[in-house]
Amino acid sequence: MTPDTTAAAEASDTGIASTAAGQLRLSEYLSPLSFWSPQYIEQSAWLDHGPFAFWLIEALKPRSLVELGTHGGYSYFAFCQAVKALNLDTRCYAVDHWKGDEHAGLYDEDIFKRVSSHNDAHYSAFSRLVRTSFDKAVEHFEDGSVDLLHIDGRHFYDDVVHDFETWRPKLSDRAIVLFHDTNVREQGFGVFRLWEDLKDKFPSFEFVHGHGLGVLGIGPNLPVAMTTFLDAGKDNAAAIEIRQSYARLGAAFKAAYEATRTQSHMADQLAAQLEEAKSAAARAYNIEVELTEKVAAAERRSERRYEEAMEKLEAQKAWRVALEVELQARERTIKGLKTSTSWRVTAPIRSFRRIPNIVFGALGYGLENSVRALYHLAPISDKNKRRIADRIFLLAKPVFGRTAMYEDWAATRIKKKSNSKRRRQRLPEKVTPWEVARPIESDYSVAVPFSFSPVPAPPRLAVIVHMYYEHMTPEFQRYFRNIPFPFDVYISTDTPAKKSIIERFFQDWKVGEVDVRVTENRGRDIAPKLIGFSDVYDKYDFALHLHSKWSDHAGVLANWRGYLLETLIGSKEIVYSVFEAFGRTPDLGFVAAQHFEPVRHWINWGGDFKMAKALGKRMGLNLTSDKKVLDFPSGSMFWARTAALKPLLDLNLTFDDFAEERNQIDKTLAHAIERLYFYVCEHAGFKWLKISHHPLMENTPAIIPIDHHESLNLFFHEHNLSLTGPDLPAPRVSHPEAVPAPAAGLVSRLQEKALGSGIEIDPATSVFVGVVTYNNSERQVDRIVKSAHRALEQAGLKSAGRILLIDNGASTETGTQSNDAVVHLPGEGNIGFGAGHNRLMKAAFDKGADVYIAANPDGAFHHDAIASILQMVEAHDQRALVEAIQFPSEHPKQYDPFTFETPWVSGACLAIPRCAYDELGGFDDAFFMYCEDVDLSWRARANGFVLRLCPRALFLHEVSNRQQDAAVLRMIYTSGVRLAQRWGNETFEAALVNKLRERGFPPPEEDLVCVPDDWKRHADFDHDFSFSETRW
Amino acid sequence: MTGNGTLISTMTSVSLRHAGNAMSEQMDTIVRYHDVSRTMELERCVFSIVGQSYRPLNIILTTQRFSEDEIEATRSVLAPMIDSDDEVMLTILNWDQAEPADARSELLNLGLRGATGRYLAFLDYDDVLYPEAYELLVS
Repeated sequence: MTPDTTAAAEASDTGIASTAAGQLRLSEYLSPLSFWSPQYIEQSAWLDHGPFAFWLIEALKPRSLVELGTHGGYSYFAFCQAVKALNLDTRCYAVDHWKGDEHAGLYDEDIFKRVSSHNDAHYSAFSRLVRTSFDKAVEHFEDGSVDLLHIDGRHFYDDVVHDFETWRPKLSDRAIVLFHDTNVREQGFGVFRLWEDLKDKFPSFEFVHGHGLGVLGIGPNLPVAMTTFLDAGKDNAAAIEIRQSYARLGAAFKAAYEATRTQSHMADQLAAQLEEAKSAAARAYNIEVELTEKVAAAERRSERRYEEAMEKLEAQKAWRVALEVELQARERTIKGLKTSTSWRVTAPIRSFRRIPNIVFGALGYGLENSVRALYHLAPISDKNKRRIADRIFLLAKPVFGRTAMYEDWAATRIKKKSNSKRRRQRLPEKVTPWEVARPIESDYSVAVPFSFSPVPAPPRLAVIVHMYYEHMTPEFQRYFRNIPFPFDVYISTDTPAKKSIIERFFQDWKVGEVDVRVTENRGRDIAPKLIGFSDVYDKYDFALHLHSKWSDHAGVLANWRGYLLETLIGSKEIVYSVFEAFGRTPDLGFVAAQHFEPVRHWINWGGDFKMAKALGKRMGLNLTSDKKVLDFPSGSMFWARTAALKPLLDLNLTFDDFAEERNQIDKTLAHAIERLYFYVCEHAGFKWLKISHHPLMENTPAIIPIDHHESLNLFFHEHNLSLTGPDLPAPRVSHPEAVPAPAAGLVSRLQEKALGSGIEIDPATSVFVGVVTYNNSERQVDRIVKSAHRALEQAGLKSAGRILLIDNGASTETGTQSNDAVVHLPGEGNIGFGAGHNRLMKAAFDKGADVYIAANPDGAFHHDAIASILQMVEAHDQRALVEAIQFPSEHPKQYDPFTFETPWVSGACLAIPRCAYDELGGFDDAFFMYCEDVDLSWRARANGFVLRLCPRALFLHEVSNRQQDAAVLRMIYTSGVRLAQRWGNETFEAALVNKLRERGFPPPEEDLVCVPDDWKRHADFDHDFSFSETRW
Repeated sequence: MTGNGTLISTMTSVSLRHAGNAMSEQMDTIVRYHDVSRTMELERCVFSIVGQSYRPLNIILTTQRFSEDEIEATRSVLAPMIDSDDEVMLTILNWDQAEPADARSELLNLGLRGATGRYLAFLDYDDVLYPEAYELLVS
């Protein structure tokens, strides 16, 4: 053929030509038809070739086409669709006996019926189904009459050769032959062998996707479009480009098909559930009738029994109403599925299961009539009849809300309301504030991570955190590591001291920029994030809003922060899923966590509607009613497209707009903004999405799995959650029962992460155990040494030379001589506990220690203690001092049972990582014994370390029969004085000086230099020598 | 061990490091253990016995219808606490009657028959002792 030089010249002018493919132009192998969607979808190996089929019909404009092996009809109808749309004069013939074969499988008559009825409905003007064998059919065709032959019959080599040779005489001078399955080499498929024979004898092109499709230009006078295509394909680079283009287009078809299959499966499942729910509702109704009768009987007997029976009846009703609500939700879902485009497209391939709406309707009708009958006939006083009726109507509003009967009743209510004060007080609208959340059954969220492992492109991301509690920084950093892209961190806090601590935590941070700012302590986390960083948002496409949300660990909200962090950034896979969602859905503005289960029942406007309405007005946002359905990112942590925050940012709020901090729990601008976030999002033209992570949810239904990006589109389509626009769902009817505790899965996950469970200890980690002895028994020294030795080995660590001893009293060298784990430092007399450890620590870190573990001589390590301590040190990036828990008598000071944070760590068994030694310099020698560990703990907190108690590391400690003689008391009080001097508490100092004097001891002579003022907040002198609230 | 024929038929002695020595100062602690999944509690219990200032100790763990594998698993969980101390022994006696039963007393009696020391103590697998307990009691 002749190359189309004009076309090539044009291509280079416009710059369209692909450099990889030389002269190849898109128009040579693609046309608008390549992007069509098939009207008829059928499970088929041919599925991915639809786009090429459309293009081919346009390029070849065949006068007649014959398909050998039509089966379900996907390819054939793709051809027909193009023929019809292009208004071509093509005669189409589908040849098949529609019985199946070894390769396609044997199938029943339904397939033919479907193909036949689709053909009749759409293409009967030009298409015929020829139901016979290929050999018999061939007799009906004249030689030289077929322009397009598609061979897709039996695929054994002999069959396909036979079909080709039998039909060859029928081919015209511009004939194209398509061979399907040229790329299948199992099950005796032989098409590839024939293709090998033919492909070089004629102009040809082969697609390798979708089982392979060979295009053979057998006719000598092919149209130009075909020869151009086949010629272009001779170039290797061009061939690759053509293949890739069509493979991608085909993959999109296939994906769409799979999505519709999932959808139809879902609909079937839902229909089955609906049936179940309906019979449950019917049963519930029967029980209700019985109970109503009992109420009547009880009323005749006594008022008290009446109340009891009434209560029972109401509980029963509430349950039934919940069922009804669920039924409605399910029915809506199924209706949605059935009316969606993709559902209709797949209609022919489904064994359609009719949802018996009639039954459902009849149930409502029957209920209404029965209630009416009961109401009139029951031997109950009119007063109580009204009581019952009122309650039934109020509870059953979602079911009967639109019936005339309900409206009649509602009208009488209004009258009564205005007539009687007493009545008004009895109205159950006393549920305050108004319930505005969706019923949980239809409060949809998507499951993260998505199950198809997306890897979206890196976004321009700012992580914006308000860190009021600066010691949560390492916890947040642990979560930041789950963000698999570069990002910048913006942190606000309320004092320079906290800022410097946060910066210490970030000193080795390499992922991106870190900008820590001091902002006013107003507007909780909300104002600092919006106002404190108002200059930042424009630089990024996405923002992650977080804050160091603290709740009392004894309360049910203790794990709220952990829940939000786990849901939003609990793993790389979750973050990938979030950005897959943003990437695939350009109008997605917010991704927030589904509500923490224990707060779900508080999802309402609180007292914030008025303030929110006023603020909304400033944004041009008209909040019409505080009774409409509402949703918001409870806890105010979320992912957002910065564009979706714009209406709020453009208000240019200032800190003065926010109330002063007085520990308010409601009715502040911050609370109002929290409730407005999704409104803001919608106002900016975006939609929002809530995500759930299954292991963290025990009491939450309506979590939809996402196994393909199409299922996300489907989710938006079916459950388009919004707060504005038409067809808003009704909010839940009654206040839901509170979920009393977070999911066990959440609690254990947070604990495991804080403990560092599963972290492998690097065997090369250099860990030294240091013991300061003071006239301890041989047995005690033997025990601590042996237990340390064993615990090091159990952790997989080197033990030789790793146990350091210094004797402040009698020498213990003879007892430990034979143990190669032990190294003795020369004794310097009774220099004190802290000073002894400082000598050992220095020696250890001089020898390259990564971690030093101080251990009391009168204790013993559990064999797993060192491994557990080290896991916890690692879990906090070495920026933690970790103490073992003392056994069997624990120290009574507090610790958080989820994060294991503790106000100070005891020196009885304490791990000090190298960076802590470098930055803090060990214990303060000024303390002879006692309180040196408290002092070190507070200094550690002031310098960007966290304090943790490791409940998995047992350290046996003999404390039960200690003699507190005068000498010990003197040491304790003296150390207390020094601690008070160091940390600037004169009251505590004076009290102890008195105690010393009472016992005839002089107070310490020299005064200690006080720590900087802003360190002092880490000290706690309010709890005597516990230096912490105590657990008992 | 004792030569009582009935006893041998109902128990398996797994780790009995020494016999006799009935009048030494040994403290036998009988610990009943019937659910192999409760190793966390058992470990704490045994850690508190091994942590006693008193020596020598013999911990008699009486197990209820454990398989060989379960006995072995239990033994190996406790081994790191027992093996490095020459004055602490672990004796596991398994009550292996064919049918399940409430064998709380049987397990105590089985332990009693296996006891060889001067002193005897009971401790539940989910309890712990102060380190000085036996020393105080004996003194």
